[in-house]
Amino acid sequence: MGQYTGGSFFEIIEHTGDVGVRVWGRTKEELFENAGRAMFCLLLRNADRVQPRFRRCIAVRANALDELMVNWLSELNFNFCTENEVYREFKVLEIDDQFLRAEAHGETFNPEVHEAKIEIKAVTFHQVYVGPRRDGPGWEANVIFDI
Amino acid sequence: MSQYKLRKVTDYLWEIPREGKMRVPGRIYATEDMLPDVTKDNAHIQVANVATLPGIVNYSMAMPDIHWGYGFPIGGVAAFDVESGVISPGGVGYDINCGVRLLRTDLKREEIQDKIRDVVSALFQHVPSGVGSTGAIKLSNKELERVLVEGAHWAVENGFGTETDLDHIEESGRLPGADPSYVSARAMERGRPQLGTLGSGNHFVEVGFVEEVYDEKLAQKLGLFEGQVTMIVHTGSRGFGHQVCDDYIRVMLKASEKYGIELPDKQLCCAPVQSPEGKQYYAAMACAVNFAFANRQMITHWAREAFVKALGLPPSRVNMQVVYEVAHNIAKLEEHEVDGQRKTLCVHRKGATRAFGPGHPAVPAAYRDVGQPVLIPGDMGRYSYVLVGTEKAMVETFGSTCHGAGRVMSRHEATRVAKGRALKRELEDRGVFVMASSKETIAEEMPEAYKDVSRVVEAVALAGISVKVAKLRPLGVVKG
Repeated sequence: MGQYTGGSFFEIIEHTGDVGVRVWGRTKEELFENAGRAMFCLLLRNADRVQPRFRRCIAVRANALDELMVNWLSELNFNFCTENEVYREFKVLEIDDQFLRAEAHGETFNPEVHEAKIEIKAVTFHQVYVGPRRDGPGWEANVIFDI
Repeated sequence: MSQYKLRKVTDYLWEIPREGKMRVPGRIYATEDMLPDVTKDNAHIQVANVATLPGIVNYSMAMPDIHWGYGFPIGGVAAFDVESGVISPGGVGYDINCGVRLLRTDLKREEIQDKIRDVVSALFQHVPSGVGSTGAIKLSNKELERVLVEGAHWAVENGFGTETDLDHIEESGRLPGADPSYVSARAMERGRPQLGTLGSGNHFVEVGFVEEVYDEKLAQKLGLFEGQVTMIVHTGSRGFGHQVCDDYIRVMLKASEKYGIELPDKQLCCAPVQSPEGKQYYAAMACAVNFAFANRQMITHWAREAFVKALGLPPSRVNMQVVYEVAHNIAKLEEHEVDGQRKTLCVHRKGATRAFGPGHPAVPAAYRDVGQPVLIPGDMGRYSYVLVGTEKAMVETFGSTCHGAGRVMSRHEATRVAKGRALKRELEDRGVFVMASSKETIAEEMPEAYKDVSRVVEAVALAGISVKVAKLRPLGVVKG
C-alpha cells in the first residue's frame, strides 16, 4: 500500500489543457499497479476511501509495452465510466510486452462516500513512455490524459 | 525553441514557410503580441506537422486561439482533397462536435437580475451535470442508433424542442453519412446513459445578456438587442464521442502503416478519405456529431423549462429561440473553390468554427444575406462574442474562424492559485452567480485560467475572417 495523496509512487505532469502522470515501480508489475492507483488519485478526490469490496479480472492485449499501458488504463477508465467501478488495489498476475492479466479490487462509486474530481476522455499516446526509470533503478511510465 | 521561423504576412497573419516534409506552408492568424504564447508551447510545430499529411490543400492553418493539442493543434483548420487526402481522428479531437448553442429571449436584463439565483438553481436541478452524470432518459440500443442517425431531429420528434430550432443549427442538427454499424459496442455502452447530460470540465449552461452591440443591422438580423437576456449551452458528444475517437485512433495507427503514411507524430494517425478505414471513421464520427446535436437539443429543452419555472412566466413571454448552434470539433465534406475550381474537401476543424460568408446555401435562410452566425464563448467571469462569417473567410480559411479563448493555466495550477480564495463569492461580486458540481471545477475554470477572449476576437476581426456583432456578459452559470 502506498500513499494516496501522491508523491511516493507518482507525480502529476502539468499540461495547459490536460493532465498527466509520471509513475514509478520497482518492477514492471508494480509499475502497472501503481499506474492504476495514480489514475484513480486523479479521478477521485478521496481515493483512499475506496474499499476493496469486490475483485474484477482484467486482461488486455497490445502490440508494444507503451500501448499495453494505454490499453490497461483505458480499460479501467471504461469500467469507471460505464459500471461506476472505482478501485484502490491492483495485482498484476501475468505480464509481457503484449499481454497483461490483472485483478482490480474496489467497489461501486457511491456519491455519499466518494467524490469524483475529473472526467478522463481518453488515455492518449501523446509522449507516452513505459520503460526503465530514467533517473535510477526500477521502472517508469509517463502518460497524458485528455480531460 | 522551434526550428520553424514565422514570417510576417500581415499584422495578423504569420506564415511557416514550407520546408522538409511539409507539403504546404503553415499559416497562423494572430497579432504579434500573441506569438510568444503560440511558440511557448510549440503549437506552431504542430501546424507544420499537419502540413506534412497527404492531400492537404493550400495551407495548414491555425486560428488565434491556437494552443497545444494532440497531433493537430487546438485552433487548427486543415482541408484535404477527397481524392488524394486523408481524414484523421486527431484532426477532430476526442470531444467530437463539442459545440455551442446561443438562445435569445424577449426578456430584458432587469427582469431577471433579482431572480438569477432561482434561475441558476433551477437549471442546476433540471440539467444533469458533473463527472459521470447520467441522463433522465433510458434508451435501448435500437433507439440510440436512431439518435446517432437523426441527431437533433430525433430529439425534436420526441418532444424536446420545436421544428424551428432545427433551422438554426449547423447542418440542421443532422450530419449525413452516419452509420451506427461502424460504432463499437464500447462506445454505445459509454454513451447510452449520457444522452442529455452536460458533463464536466469546461462545459456549461450560461444565462447572460447582450452588453454591447457592434453592428446594429447584423444584430437585428440575429434578433439581438442591447440588454436582452440570452442563454448559451456548451457541451459535446460526452463519453460516446470520446470512445469513438479512442477506438479509431487505434484503427488509424494501423491504417497509417498500411497506406505508408509517414507521421511526424503518432497522434496524427490517419487514412485516405476514400479508404475503408477513412469511410468507417467518417460514418462513426458522424454518429458522434449527431449524438452531440441531440444532446444540446435536449439540454435546451430542460433549460427552457427551468427558466420558465424559475421566473414564473409563460413560455410565450420568455420566448426562448435558438439564434444558432456551431460545432467546434468536426470534419466535414464541403465544397470550396481551390485555384478557380470547385472541389470537395474534407475540412477538419479542431477547436475552430465554421464561418461561412453571405449567400452560402448552408447558412439558414434567415441569415443568408449576412453570413453564418459564429459563437465564441469566453470564460465564466468575463464575456462571450457573437460574430458572423465573411466572404474573406471563404477565400482564405475554407470558411473558418476561432472558437474560444484557450487556457493559459493548467487545471492544477489554477487550483493552486485559487487556494484560500472564495472564488464563488469573487464571481458574485462581479455579478456572476455560479453553481457547479464541485468546488474544484470553479477553481479550475476561473477566469484567470483563460486568455482574454476579446484579443482572439479582435485578431479574427482584423483579419477580416469574421465580423463582430455583439458582446454577451454572464449573469449566472451552471458548470459541469
